[in-house]
Amino acid sequence: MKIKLLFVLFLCFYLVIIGRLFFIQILFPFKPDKDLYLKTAKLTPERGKIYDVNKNPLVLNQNSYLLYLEPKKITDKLKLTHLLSESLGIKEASLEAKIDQTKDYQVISSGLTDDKKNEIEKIKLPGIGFEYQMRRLYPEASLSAHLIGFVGKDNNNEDVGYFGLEGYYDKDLKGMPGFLESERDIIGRPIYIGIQNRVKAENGRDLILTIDKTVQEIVKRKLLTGIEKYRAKQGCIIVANPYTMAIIAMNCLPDYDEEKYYQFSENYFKNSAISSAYEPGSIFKPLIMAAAINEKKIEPDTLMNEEGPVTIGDYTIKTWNDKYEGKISMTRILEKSSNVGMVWVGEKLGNSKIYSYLKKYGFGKLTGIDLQGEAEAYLKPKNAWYPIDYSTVAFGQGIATTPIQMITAFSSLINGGNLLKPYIVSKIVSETKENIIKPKIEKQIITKETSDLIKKMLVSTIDNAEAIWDKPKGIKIGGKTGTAQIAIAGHYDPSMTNASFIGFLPADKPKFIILVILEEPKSSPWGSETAAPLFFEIAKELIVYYNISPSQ
Amino acid sequence: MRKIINITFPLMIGLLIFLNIFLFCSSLKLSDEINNYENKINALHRENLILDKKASVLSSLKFAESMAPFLGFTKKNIPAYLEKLNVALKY
Repeated sequence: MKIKLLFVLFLCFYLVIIGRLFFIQILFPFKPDKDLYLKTAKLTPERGKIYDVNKNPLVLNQNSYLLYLEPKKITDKLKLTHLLSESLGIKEASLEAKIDQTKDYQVISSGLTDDKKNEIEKIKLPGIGFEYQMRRLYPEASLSAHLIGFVGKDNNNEDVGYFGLEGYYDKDLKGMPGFLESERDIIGRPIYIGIQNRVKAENGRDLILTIDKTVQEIVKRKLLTGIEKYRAKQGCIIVANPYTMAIIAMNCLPDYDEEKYYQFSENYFKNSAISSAYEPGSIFKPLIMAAAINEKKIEPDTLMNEEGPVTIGDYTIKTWNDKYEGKISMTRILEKSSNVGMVWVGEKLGNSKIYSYLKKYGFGKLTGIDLQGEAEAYLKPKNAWYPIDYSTVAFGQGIATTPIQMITAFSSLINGGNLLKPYIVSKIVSETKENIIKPKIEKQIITKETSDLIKKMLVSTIDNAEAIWDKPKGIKIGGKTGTAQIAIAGHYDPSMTNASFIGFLPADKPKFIILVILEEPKSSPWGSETAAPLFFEIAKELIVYYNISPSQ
Repeated sequence: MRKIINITFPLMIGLLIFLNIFLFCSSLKLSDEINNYENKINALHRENLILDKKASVLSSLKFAESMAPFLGFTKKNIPAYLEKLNVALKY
């Protein structure tokens, strides 16, 4: 009897289960909420860091928090707004007006530091929450603002790099986001026997630069004092290794604060060293001189008769001081920066060769430097050139070049004749491998012999220049000053110039080449009185920094 | 035979119940551990970033500049002043 009763009980129990299953699965199928337990999340990779040549950090990441409110959970709005406004420095009234208690979620502030987060957490009121984010940290502040660029947001509110290295290497720096699919219980713990899929995020690659932050600091400090001293509108300095075209320092002022980039207009983001075109003026002369020597049209000792101004069509070309020395050598043309002499050299070289050398030097196309925002200075097509253009280009007027094009072309004169691609990043380091970027020779423009000759001429240009500079003693320096008038509405304004100087040292085997450009200096229009002294000041500090002995 | 079944069947049921409870508890423990390690990794990462920041500040040129006067590096040590001692003497 007992067994029968037990049997009936079990049978009823099973019938109830079967009936319930039929009810759930057939009559009213239960559709479980997938998101109830299964949580998915994007795993954000850490953006790659940027280091200088000595592995000193230029850009790192730091903790940052987004502060949000869940207005429906707020119990004491007045107290919360009062305490939050004190911590965040926001006006109480505007914060109170912002909080909409019909909403589930409201962002109040982003970019909070650890300290600020801890301070707000002490408020301990319901309805306050934080979301973890990361933001960029610049240990050297805006030392290399134009070079580095900044990280902003795109239309999807995702981090994206703008300008400079952040823009150019955005894909490398960004990394690959990961993915997490995990079944979690009601308090967020993973359910071990549930779905647990994780695709690990791949952190962004780190960049090791060719930039030396000490040189960068010297350059920025000197440029700042130079701009103030010579009352220039703006200025740019590039320091590079002429044998590799590795950029050691690059700075243009005015610049901006990368941390607060949103407070600056877009004009400040432009790196003039790569995206502004200038008429180079006399620093261009050695390029034409070298081309003529390379074509064996002249030699350093070849004489020409500088008897007075020359007339080309309707135009008269004079020397800068309207003084003429009669018979002078090619070296002397560079020493006294004779426009008349350069017109003669240009004529010797010939129009066709001038144009082909301009192309060879890389004018009219991008250098390919690894920075976002490089502009291509326009080079007119050959059929649009008038005879006067060939004459003026010989002394660096009537052609526009970017500073990076200029220093790249000039380096080929002193490194044995090779045109190299300038670069900033020497290594890209990922979690598994290192990608070393080597110098790239684009082409040979002039022979080594020509290069040696022009180097000697440029040393002589500094030694016998008409201006007297405070030069470092015992060290051979080569270089050339430049003063280019600025074209305004089809005419050159003699009162407005771009002053420049390009030089290298030690001349026999240059360790670096420096280009200094000052835009519209007011204290003097001449490159020899503004950009050149600035060059020598920088050179002196670099001589000490690089331990260059006077015997060199 | 019947006696053996009568003993082993409840034993099997008991063992299965025990195993189920053990597995359930283990999975809870493991879940807790996963959660714990996830939190620790995140905390370590954040701590790393804080230390990174502190180290970078100490190795920055800005910090070096602020320390320079206390360490005796003054304008007189700039090469220009060493070269022109008459200038250095004025400072």
